[in-house]
Parts: sequence; structure tokens; C-alpha cells
Amino acid sequence: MKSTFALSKVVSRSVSHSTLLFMGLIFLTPFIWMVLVVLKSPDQIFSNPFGLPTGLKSVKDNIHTAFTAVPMTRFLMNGALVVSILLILQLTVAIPAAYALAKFEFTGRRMFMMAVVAGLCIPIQIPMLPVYIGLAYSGMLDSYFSLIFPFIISPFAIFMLRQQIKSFPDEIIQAARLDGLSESGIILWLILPEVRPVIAAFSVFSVTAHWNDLYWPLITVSSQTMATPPLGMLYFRDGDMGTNYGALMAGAIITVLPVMFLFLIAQRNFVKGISVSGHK
Amino acid sequence: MRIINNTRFSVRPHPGPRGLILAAPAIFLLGCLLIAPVIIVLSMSLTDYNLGSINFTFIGLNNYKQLLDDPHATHALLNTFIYILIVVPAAFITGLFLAVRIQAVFHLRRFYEIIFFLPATSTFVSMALVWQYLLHGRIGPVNELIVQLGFQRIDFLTDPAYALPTLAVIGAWQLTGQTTVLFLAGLASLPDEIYQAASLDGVESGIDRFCKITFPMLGPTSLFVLVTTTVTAFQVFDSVAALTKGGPGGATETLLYRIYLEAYQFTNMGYACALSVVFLCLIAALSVLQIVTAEKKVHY
Amino acid sequence: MVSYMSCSSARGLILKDVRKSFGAHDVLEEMSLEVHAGEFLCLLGPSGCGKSTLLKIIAGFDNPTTGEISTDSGEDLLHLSSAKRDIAMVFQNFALYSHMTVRDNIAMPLIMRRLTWQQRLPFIGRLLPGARLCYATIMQEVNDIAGMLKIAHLLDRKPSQLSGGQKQRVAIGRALIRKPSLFLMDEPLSSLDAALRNEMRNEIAELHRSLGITTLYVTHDQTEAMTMADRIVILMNGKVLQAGTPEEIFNSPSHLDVAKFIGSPPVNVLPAKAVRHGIYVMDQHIPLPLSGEIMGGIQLAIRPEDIRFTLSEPMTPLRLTWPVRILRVERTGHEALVHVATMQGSRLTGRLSSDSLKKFIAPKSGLISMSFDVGSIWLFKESGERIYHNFLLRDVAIQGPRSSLP
Repeated sequence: MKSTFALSKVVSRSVSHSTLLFMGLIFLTPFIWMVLVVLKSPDQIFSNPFGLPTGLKSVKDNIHTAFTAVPMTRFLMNGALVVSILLILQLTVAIPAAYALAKFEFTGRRMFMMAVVAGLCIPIQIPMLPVYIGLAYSGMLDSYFSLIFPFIISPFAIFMLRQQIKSFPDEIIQAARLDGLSESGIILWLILPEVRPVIAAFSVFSVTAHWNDLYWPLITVSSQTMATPPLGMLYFRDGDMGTNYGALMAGAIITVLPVMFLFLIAQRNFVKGISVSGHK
Repeated sequence: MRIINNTRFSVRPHPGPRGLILAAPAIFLLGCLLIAPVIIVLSMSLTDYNLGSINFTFIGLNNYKQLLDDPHATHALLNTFIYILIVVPAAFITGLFLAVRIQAVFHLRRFYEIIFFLPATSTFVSMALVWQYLLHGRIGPVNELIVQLGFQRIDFLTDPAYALPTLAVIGAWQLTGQTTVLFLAGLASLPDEIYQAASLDGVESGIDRFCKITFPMLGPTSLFVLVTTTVTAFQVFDSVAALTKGGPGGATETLLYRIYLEAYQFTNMGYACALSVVFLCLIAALSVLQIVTAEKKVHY
Repeated sequence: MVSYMSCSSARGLILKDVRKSFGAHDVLEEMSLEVHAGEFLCLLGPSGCGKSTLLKIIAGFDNPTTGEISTDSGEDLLHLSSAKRDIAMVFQNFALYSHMTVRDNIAMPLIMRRLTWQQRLPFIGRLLPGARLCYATIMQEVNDIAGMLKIAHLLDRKPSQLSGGQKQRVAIGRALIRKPSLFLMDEPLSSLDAALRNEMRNEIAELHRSLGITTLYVTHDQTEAMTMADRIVILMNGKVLQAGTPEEIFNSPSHLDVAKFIGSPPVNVLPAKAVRHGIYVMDQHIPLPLSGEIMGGIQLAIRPEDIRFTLSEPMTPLRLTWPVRILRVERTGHEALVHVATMQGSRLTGRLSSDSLKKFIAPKSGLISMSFDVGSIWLFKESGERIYHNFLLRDVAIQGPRSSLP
């Protein structure tokens, strides 16, 4: 037998859902519009902003333009190369450091830890200045090295990994040492499997942040061939075809898709990363 | 050889240089890429160094004095504060509202999380260009809508009065995903039993539940969200660089954009460092607050 | 101070055919129950038996799939919201408002009920006419209750600054200040340590004696149930197995599971066979006036304290004797547990205390005689239901009242 106040619960639930769906629609408007525009031809865009697209022919043209007006494939490749190499290097540096901080005693450990925490508080744009000068003087600007190098050290990774490794039982490590396992062996076979969730969360975070980064590529890159996707989009917009909104939207979709895809499959890790760090 | 002062075989920490060797690359890079640069920035802010110049002199606090007199710099600071004053409350309140609503309809939570967090993860530059089209003065759909409702067209991004608030709205759109997710995590940690006890005590209506239970118990989370969102908002750059380039007439120049201009366009490195030091102090103070409030997130 | 709190409006509860299922799985199966006004009723059962679910349904946090719940005056509860059912509850994890002081926690139910929303506003509410008097009255009642529960000195503290026992008292204060007609308690002592549990048990029992509020107490701890309850309801797998006073449940379990649940160490269970004119157990035939409908496999249960050991003893129709081998003797000062094995391989535990313990000497061979009165055995069908027979009743008349409760 249903009580009347259970009925009011159903009513309030549907009100919540309608509010949420309505607001969701507003939030997704740019995405919806992006797709609508890419399906239209240039005159359709200019003459009738609210009109619906008529066919799929314009899509092909727009995508084609996106790839020819600027070296879009090159942008995408640069982005992929930079984020993947960067991630591997970040983890290679951070995991042993986190392991050392969690399980070892050495001189300067406390100072190192403080430096890591300080690193969490210092916005990355500050050290960029001298690093830029250094790269400028050594002629290394506008290269993959300049795109990757400043970010190899990630205090965030070290911090998150250290938290996780700390809870790993010491006895297992000690037993492994007695069995003759080297430290790198311990890291590979014991620590690594244990910190897989942290690595997953961090990877998602790092890949997204660096794929989406505009500031540093804008500063260090001066030739189109070295641009990452965000910078590439700016070149696109400022170039000849910049007013071809259909193609521009095609470019936007192409650059956004990889990260969106990553988000959809690794959504839980995104949420976890945000809850810990709080910044993108 | 270190003397281990427990009687039983000490399992940790392991003495010897092994820890140092493992951490060496990180220590080196941290010094190179973080600590040394910060020290350089601090000292360079006391000079008149320009990129490419051979000589530079130590000029003490002149850069900072110049900062105070420089209308560009003070204007940039003001713009940044106005931006934050719009973005942070908007993202905070919207995020809180959405999180409470989503929590109330628990089973579709994943779905809504995705919808509202999507803007936060997408390449902001690309989305900014979408906004540029949406808000276009001539062909943008938003203006079409406004005209059809009977009002005048608004040049969102080229009208000095509208430019900064427009960027703020776009910023809030992006940041709301972050605040929603953080509030959802906070709400999930509130035990069900408190609400059950409250319903027996007579707390029935949604407003009562929110004012008496939910919001007070979200106190620590709210603080964390506030600080985190402010830190992110402070670092606004992408929308300025992509949409307005600081214009029209400096109306949307924010602190970070000003630093970018001084350092990399006008190559006034010394001055840019002074600006950066101001930026650093503000953010570092907030970040420390962020870490402190992160610890306190659990109420009991 | 105590008398003003006495509840003259104690109310009973009637549950009829209440069933709760989640999908295909029945958590509560068609249970009917009556709670008498003013009594202390214990819902006793192992974890997962559905007792907390039942409490949630009574409190209004969940709805039954089918069934009716009403007060003993006929008022239907199910269409009322939790706040209107005049029920108060104490939770296992206290559920105190951690952002409020103890005083505000206890005052909360009265503030929500007696003040309008305007009067409840943060600062200006108190300035409204009538509000100040109301607040003063409420605070006085809070002070009274805090004094009664001995937490008056904690009124300005926050829950995080309290110990477990203190938190529980605050929770009880918050519940009682409303003078509810029904008081629910969901395993309130299980998060406290053992010494505190004893103390709180006495206090809760004392509170009930002086206030007389109908109380429904959920627990998995049989000691709590046996010492505090007027009546106990044994709940297992969503079914009511038995409802009765502690004596009834201890001395005459109606189901094998009830017998196994109550009593420490647990009751001994032996397989037996019902035959003509009696039963067959451990290779011996015992004449018993069974009704004859039951034939075949049954279960026999005997309490450890009803087992006696002697060096040798002849068997009589009243006293049954078996030769057994001692496996292990655990002495705990004032009593001992004797673990034996029969010739058929069954294992039993007997409990010896005071005089029988003094007379007990374990022989070197390890072989002794185990005996128990035929009147102290319980017989159960394979399905678990109790088989009653006249012998037991007659035996009670011969033997006298049962031994004391654990």
C-alpha cells in the first residue's frame, strides 16, 4: 500500500530530473551547436543561424578544409607525441621518487618533501619565465624538447603516488629484499601493480592537461609545424580560412574528440583526480 | 652504519644511500625546473633585464614601484578580481545546486556527472572558438535569439562593457563541472542516518534539510571548493588569448595575460618577474589554504 | 524531574503480514507482530535477518512491499511521514548533528516542532513575538533532560569532542525530549566497548522502568535481550521464529534455530530417529509418548548445563546414560566446559559449575559416563519445528522449575 507521501517523492523526483535535464541542455549547447554547424555549408551558416542542416555533404567539405587549411594531422600528431612521451617521463621520474619518500630515510628527505609540497603551491607559469630564457639562449625553443622538458617533474604525481605507496606493507618489501630482489625489481613487480589506480588517475589528468594546454605552446612555439592542437586551432582561426565556421567547428571537434573520448572511458579517474587536486 | 634503536629487527625506514639514488632524478629536476627558477624570478624582479640584452642592472624595488603606477598592471589586477568575483560565486552556487539535485535522484548520477563535467575536460581553446561563433555580433545564434525577442544586438566580445562579464560566464560554464563534482563527493560522504534522524526530528521540507543539515555539514567541502575554484579562476588565460587578446582596449586583460605580454611580447623580463611575484604570492597563499582545507574536508 | 517525563500516552503497535522484498529476494516474510503499550520488546536475531529493515519500515524510512502497520488504537501509520508518526529513534552510529552543539542537538526536535519557520531564522527569529518564551521553555527542557542523563556538563560541546557513551546519551536525550509514544533503538550499544555496554544497559533499562515508553530494541546480542526485555521476538531470515518472554524462549524454544541461537555455549544437537513409542539416539532406545505422526529423522537438543558426568551410572527410564570419551576440559575458575565424544562420533559439550565441578575428576582413561534427564531434552523435526510431548510437561511437574538464566 503506497502512502501519499511516497507519491510526493515521485513528483519531486521528476521535477529534479526536468530541472537537471534542462540545465544539462544549456550546458551542452556549445557541443550541440558545434555538431550542427559542422554539418552546414558556409552560406547556410551565414544566412540562417537557426536552420537545421540538410545533408552530410557539407561535413566532408568542412573536414577536408580543416585538414588542408592548416596541418591538422601534424597538430594531432604533435599533441599525441608530446602527451605520451611526457607521461612516460613523468612517471619514470615520479615513481622512484615517491617510493623513496614513502619507504626510505635519507639526508634531505624532509627538505625534498617540503619542496614537493611547495611545488604544489607554485603556479607553473612562474618557473616558465627562466626556463624560457634558458631555452631561448640555447636555441631549443620551438622544439619537442621545449614542449616536454619543463613538465617532466610533476609534484602532483609524486604526492599522489607517495600517499598510495605509504600504505603498502613494509614487510613484503623487506621479504623481497631478503629474497634478493633489487630495488628496481621491487618497483616493477611489487609497487607498480599496487599503484595502478593512482597511475590511471594521474595519466588521465596529465594527458588532458597537456593536450589542452595553450599557454606554454603559445610561448615556445613559433612555427606551425610544431604546434599542438590548441595552438593549431588559433592558427586556423587567425588564418585565411578562419571565417569558415564550418571548417573551424570541424577542427574544434577533431581536437576535442580525443580528450572527450578519454573522459568517457576513464570518467571515474577524472573525478578522482579532481577531488584530490582541485585544478585542471 | 646507522644504529637502529629498536630491539626487534627494524623493517623501515631503510638506511643508506638507496633512497637518495632513487629520488635523485626528481630532486635534480625539481631543483632545475622549480626551485631555481623561482629564485631566479624573485631576483630578476629586482633587475631591469630584457630578453636579449647583454647587461642589466640591479634596480631594487623599482619594478614594484612601477607596477603600482602602471595603469596596465593595476587594471589587469582589477580585471582579474572582477572576473573572479563573477566566476567563483556563479560556479559555486550552480555547482552546489546541481550537486544537491543530482544527489536527490541518485541512480542517474553518473549520467549527469558526465554532462556537467564535459565542458571542464574539453580543450578550452576549441570550445572558446565555438563560443566565439555562438556569441558572434552578426551571425551568432544568441544574437539572433535576442533580436527575435525584440532587443538590440549585443557585441558580446567586442563591446568593452560586455567583454569581461562574457568571459566570466564562459569561465563559469567551464568551472561548474569542477564544483559540481567536488560537491557531489562531499554530499556522498554525508551519512544517510543523519537525514533519517532529522526526518524523525521534524526536518521534512527540502529547504529545511538543506539549511539545517546539508549546507552546514558541507562546510569544509565548501571552503575547499571556494579556494580551489578561486585558484583556477585566477589563472584565466585561454579565453582571453583566444577571444579578445586583452581587448577591447584592455577591458579583458587579466594578470596572467599581462605577464604574458610583458614577458614574451615586450620582453620586459625584469618587470614581468615583478608581476609574476605578485601573481605567485596571491596563488601560493590560496594554494596553502587549499591544502589546509583539503585536510579538514571530513567533519568528524 | 523524572515524573514529568512519564509517558501516559504509551502506545502499542500492530504489524500485520508485513513483507519486504528487493526484487525476487524477500528480506521480511509476511510477518505479523504485536507490540504491547509500554513494554520493552527486543528484536533479536543474527546480522542480516531483517531486523534493521523492519525498524526502518516502522520509522518510515522505507515502505513495506505489502502489509499493514497501525497503532493499537487502529490508526494506520503507513500513510504518515516519519515526522508525524510520533516515533523517536536511537541509531547505532548515533547520527548526531556534528555541526551543532549538544544543546542544539537535543533541542532540535522541539525547535522544529514548536517554532514556525520565521521564528527559526538565524538571528531575527528570536526577536519575533512569542519566540523568546518558546526558546526559553525549550532550553529549560533540554537542561532537564541533560541532567537526567548526566550530560549537563557537556551541553556546549560538539559531538566530535564526546566519547562513545556520551554521544549515545545525547542521542537518547534527543529522542526522549519529544516524549514520543514509541521509541526505536537500532543496536545502540554495539559501537561501545564492553564495560560501557554493561553500564548503558542498566541505564536504558532503568529509563524504561521510570518512563514507561513503548520501546522496540533491535540487537544481535542475546545477553542484552535476555536481561533487558519484557518480551523477545526472535527473527531469522526475515521470519519470526518465536515471540515470548526471556524465560519462555530460554526454557522452551519453538524452533531449533532459536535453541541454537540462545545460550552460551550453544546447545548440543544430535541426530535421532523417531520410532514407535519413542526415539532412537546414540544407539539407545528411549521410550517417549510421542504422538506417532512423526517418524524418521529428527533432531535432539540438550543444553550443556543439563549434562552430568559420573564415573559410572546405571541407566533408568528417567536418567539416560551413555559412555563417552573426554576430548578436552576448559576450566575458567568458577566453571568448566567438558568436551566429549560419543561412541558414534558425535561431539557434545557439557558445562559444570560450583558443586558439580567440585565433584568432577577426569579419569586417566578419559572414559566417563554422560547422563541427562529425559525431561531436559528438546526434540525438533528436520525442518526445525519443535516436537512437543507429554513427558516434558509431566517432567516439569516432577523436577521443578528450570535452572537460572545465563
